[in-house]
Amino acid sequence: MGRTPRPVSLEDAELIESVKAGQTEAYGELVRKYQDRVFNACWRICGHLEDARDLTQEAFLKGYEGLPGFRQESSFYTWIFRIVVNLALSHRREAQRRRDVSLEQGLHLVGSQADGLAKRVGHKEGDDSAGAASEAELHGCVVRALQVLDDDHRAVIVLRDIEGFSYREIAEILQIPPGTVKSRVHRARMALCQAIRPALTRND
Amino acid sequence: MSNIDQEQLGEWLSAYLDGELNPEQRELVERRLREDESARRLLDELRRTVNLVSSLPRHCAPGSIAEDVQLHVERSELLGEPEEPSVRSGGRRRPVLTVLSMAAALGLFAVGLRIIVTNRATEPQIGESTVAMRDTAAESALTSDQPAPPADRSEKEEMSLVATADFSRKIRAGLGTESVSTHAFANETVRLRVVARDEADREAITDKIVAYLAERRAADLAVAMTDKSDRTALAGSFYYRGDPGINYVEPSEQQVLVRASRRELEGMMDELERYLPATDGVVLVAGPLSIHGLRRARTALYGLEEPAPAVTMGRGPYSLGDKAEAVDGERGEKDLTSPDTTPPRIDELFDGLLKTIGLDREMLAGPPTPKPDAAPAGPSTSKAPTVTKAKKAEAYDRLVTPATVGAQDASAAPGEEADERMKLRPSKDCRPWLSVG
Repeated sequence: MGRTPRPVSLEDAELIESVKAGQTEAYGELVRKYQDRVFNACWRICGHLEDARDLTQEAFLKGYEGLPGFRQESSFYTWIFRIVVNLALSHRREAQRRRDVSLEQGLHLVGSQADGLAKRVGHKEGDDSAGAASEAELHGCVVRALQVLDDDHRAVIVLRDIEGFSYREIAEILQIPPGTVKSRVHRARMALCQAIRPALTRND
Repeated sequence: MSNIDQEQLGEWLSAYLDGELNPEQRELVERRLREDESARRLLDELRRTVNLVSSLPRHCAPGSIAEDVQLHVERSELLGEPEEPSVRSGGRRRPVLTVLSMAAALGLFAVGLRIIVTNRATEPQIGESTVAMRDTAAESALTSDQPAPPADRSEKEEMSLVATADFSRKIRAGLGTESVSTHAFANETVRLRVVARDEADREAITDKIVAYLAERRAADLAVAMTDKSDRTALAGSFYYRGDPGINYVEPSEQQVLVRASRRELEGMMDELERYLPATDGVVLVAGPLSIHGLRRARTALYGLEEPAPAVTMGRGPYSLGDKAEAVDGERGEKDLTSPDTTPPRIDELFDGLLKTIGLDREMLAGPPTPKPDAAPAGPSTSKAPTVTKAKKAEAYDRLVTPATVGAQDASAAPGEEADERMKLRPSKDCRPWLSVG
């Protein structure tokens, strides 16, 4: 039933012990090992590349600060993701508070602005094959739908379907019961299904 | 299972796809799937959705993250910042990184000193914009969870604060205004707001900025991306209003808001100045500071040769749409360097840092920095120090490592480089935002 929690890999454990012993360069190794996944998750949760970069860096710095208290009962990867998700969700909530336009309006404008920018940078519609366009349309729908999801549901989708965490690991990261993870995953997927159904139908 | 409601069926189907059901549950689901056409359709739809989400393109982290984190960690170890007490002791240290950290810390001081001296050496010219440093520290303190800074910080803690690259930390700690105002924004993200005169103006400004971003950033994306929808989504991610990107959602405000790295902004400002040589409507927002006027912003960021600004501090952040505030800082900001403000402490801190790393001012062979007791009462009454700008620049160049100042070409005379500056320059120092692969 599901994947078992990832144990702390020997390599990670050695690196962590080295960091705790004062070898700070070992932490750089940990960062290099996980930075791509952390960055990608940040990006998909917060929706902005630059913010994702800042959040990734902040998460690793917070991880360093908290490492002395890390008892290695879970994997470093799971542990750092808990920091990442908390930071990304906090950031997004803060950004939403500052935002003075509705999400729907914003999404509409994101699409039109993005199209406009794509044209400005020389991208020409119709350059690709019809098949590629369909796939592109589907991916675009998914990205937009992800941003419409509320924070809790987007987080579980990113953790489950993009990062491949098990329900148990997601429960550990988000600190919610596994049963809640299961229902959130399903509701989020149903919302995504609904959002991309027209595009899926056209693609059939 | 046959009596299961649709919601629970969906949950079980999702869990079935994820392999998260126990054998009994899996058996029940499979039986239901054999009997129920609608369940099979739902499963198919869920599976396609999951496949689409999991096939979204992934992107590598910007290459500098690990280096930046490493540098922060090394610096915190070097300066003994209080956040990592248990990691600080013991263990060996990589000498090269330690030296680099020292150089970086020293570089921050040097940049700060250079700006201080420049600021004091010149007076604002009539008709030029005023740099308005708006004190949002009070606001930050209100919203921050962190406790108020201790009034009796040790010298070591003070040095650590001055040298930190985290500008917000300086503000939260209530560091002296000199240190705050001379913070080197070498690698920090800053925001630029351009208040346009009308819609056509805004469009033109947007074109300039987008062209620049296209050159510097979207070009990287275009190379990295193979999927055009995701390329569009990526473009949208920095084209969206607020943070980061270009504010284009509220055309009535006639503003363009850009969030970019300091290095990116340098070229962007060149473009803007070419188009709007007298753009007072430009507001550079770096941390809690708002610097009004394009030339002033450039001076503050890149240490160019424009006359230094009067340094003033107001209350409250610059508000979107408030055009009056964007022009010349006319709102009665408090004079930071007036006698009733905190006396400068940077010289003592600088000396302390030099002592810590075994240097003194003579070893640096640079010009003397202004003594605190010789500090002018205010910007409008400041006097030029005895050292020349060339000597200061020389000392600065000696002190500041390339890692500290990045792409900044401190030795280039603006006049000589004018033609080059007018071009849209591809990044030679910045790594691509996304690496291909």
